[in-house]
Amino acid sequence: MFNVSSIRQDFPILEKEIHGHPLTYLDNSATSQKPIQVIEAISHFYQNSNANVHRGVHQLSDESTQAWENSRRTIAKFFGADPAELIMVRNTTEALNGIAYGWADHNLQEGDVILTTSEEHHSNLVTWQEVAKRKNARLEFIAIDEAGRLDLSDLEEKLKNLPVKLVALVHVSNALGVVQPISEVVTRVKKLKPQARVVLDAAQSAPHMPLNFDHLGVDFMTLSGHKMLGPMGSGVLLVKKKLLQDQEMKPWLFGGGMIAEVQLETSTFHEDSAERFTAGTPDVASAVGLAAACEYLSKIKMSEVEKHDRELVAYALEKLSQVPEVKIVGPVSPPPDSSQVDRLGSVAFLYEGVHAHDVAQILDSQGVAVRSGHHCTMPLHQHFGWPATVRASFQIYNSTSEIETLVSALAEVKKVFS
Amino acid sequence: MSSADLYQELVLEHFHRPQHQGQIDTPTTTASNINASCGDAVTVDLQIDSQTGQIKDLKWRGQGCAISTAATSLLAEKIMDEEMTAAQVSNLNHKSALALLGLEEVAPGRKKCLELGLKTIQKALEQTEPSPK
Repeated sequence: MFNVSSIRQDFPILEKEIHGHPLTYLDNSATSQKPIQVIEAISHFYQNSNANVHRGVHQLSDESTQAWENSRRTIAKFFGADPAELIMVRNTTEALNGIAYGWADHNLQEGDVILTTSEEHHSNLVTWQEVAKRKNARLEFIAIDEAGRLDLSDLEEKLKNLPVKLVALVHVSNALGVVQPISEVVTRVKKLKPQARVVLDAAQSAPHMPLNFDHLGVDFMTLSGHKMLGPMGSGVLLVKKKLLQDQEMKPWLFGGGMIAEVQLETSTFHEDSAERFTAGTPDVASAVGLAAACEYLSKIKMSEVEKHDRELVAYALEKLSQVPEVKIVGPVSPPPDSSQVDRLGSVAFLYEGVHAHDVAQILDSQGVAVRSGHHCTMPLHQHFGWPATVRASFQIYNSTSEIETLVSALAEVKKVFS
Repeated sequence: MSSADLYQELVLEHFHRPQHQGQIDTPTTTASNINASCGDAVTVDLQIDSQTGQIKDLKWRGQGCAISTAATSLLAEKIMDEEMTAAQVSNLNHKSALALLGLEEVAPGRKKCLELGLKTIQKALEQTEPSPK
């Protein structure tokens, strides 16, 4: 039974007061809070098992290596992947850049097309802009509607007619909350451009729904551990085993740990893909923390996490629609083929006559933490003519009463600016 | 800082009725700036007397939050009311902007909003300075 108040007890920071009000933390798309179990796992590692991995024969080094390997196994399993498919990174941005340097730089040719959308987070856009510059490739954008939903027939047209080599797509938009139909996309890519690789930016889906890398059918998946109760500095890159084994994806960081043999002029790299893609001392403590977060979420069950999140999104859509000055961006009602709104994780909006920054500032004075600005989606905001939006985003410890607090705090905005 | 402190009458007055908005047909200099973190954007046109360096006219336009709008409006008003010169305006800084709004400080997240108008005016002025020999 999903119990928000007992979950909240695991999160010490939620007891804080902000400007004399209880903290209402609704900025989870930016980063999530951490349960004491994750904090203690990290602390325990540093207090008991800290040493460098793989490099020594002493007891502590063994313990640290075990902690590293066990954490990797836990994390890979949580996402339905083989540990050999897991590369630990610092965040989604680093994961996407890793694909750019490790895969795109070696596999894209002049004239190739990278297919993406105008609603991508800058990390899944600017990265490919730079690749396009380096390789003389070009970007093309799948059309979206006013809620940010993909135009699947435009996707088909582009797959048919353009030399698409890479499709880079967000799973859940951090700005609009829209959930893209990944299986529909993958089916079309496999049918129309089977040679093309698919990158899935799962930064905003991993915290809110069960994901199985094996079943999704994408070639690469990226996400941030820190958005799903894990520590900052933890991020995940999953790569289909074959791409690593066949060396279609190559290392982009070189040095210690990833080598087999080093001579003065040349070196060979480790046969084991996990080792080959772990250059330098890894952040074992963060991996331990993320593994603890995966275990914490597994106990609650991601299907329950998703159900709770959808309830919060539905409640926020309902209550915010009742505020006359608020205009919600992204999906507000189910798409034609469904009974459920295709929105997860967040509700963002405009407030008539008041800049998002001022809304967020006044909400902060009431203890409500939201984010304002363009949320690293400048092209999207420009496309729709929004100077900035306010975004409330959710996690397992948020409740419907906190959404009511958000709405009451908005009344203060009206008072100040009337 | 409570919203009462930040959004006092002066700020709201200049947000709702910003002064010196518009454009100059043939300005001596013009500059634009965007606050990348929040979407505030401002463009400033200046007419400068080449003999005295006095700013004879200042017009600005753009979209932004209450803080950046009020700060730019109050700054434009000060420059025009006090018949300030380019040199005097170049010496203004974060503290001057705060003083204009009657604030002791703003949160780090709002610093760029506060300074947007000032930095844009100073950018326009820099463009008129003779280049170093």
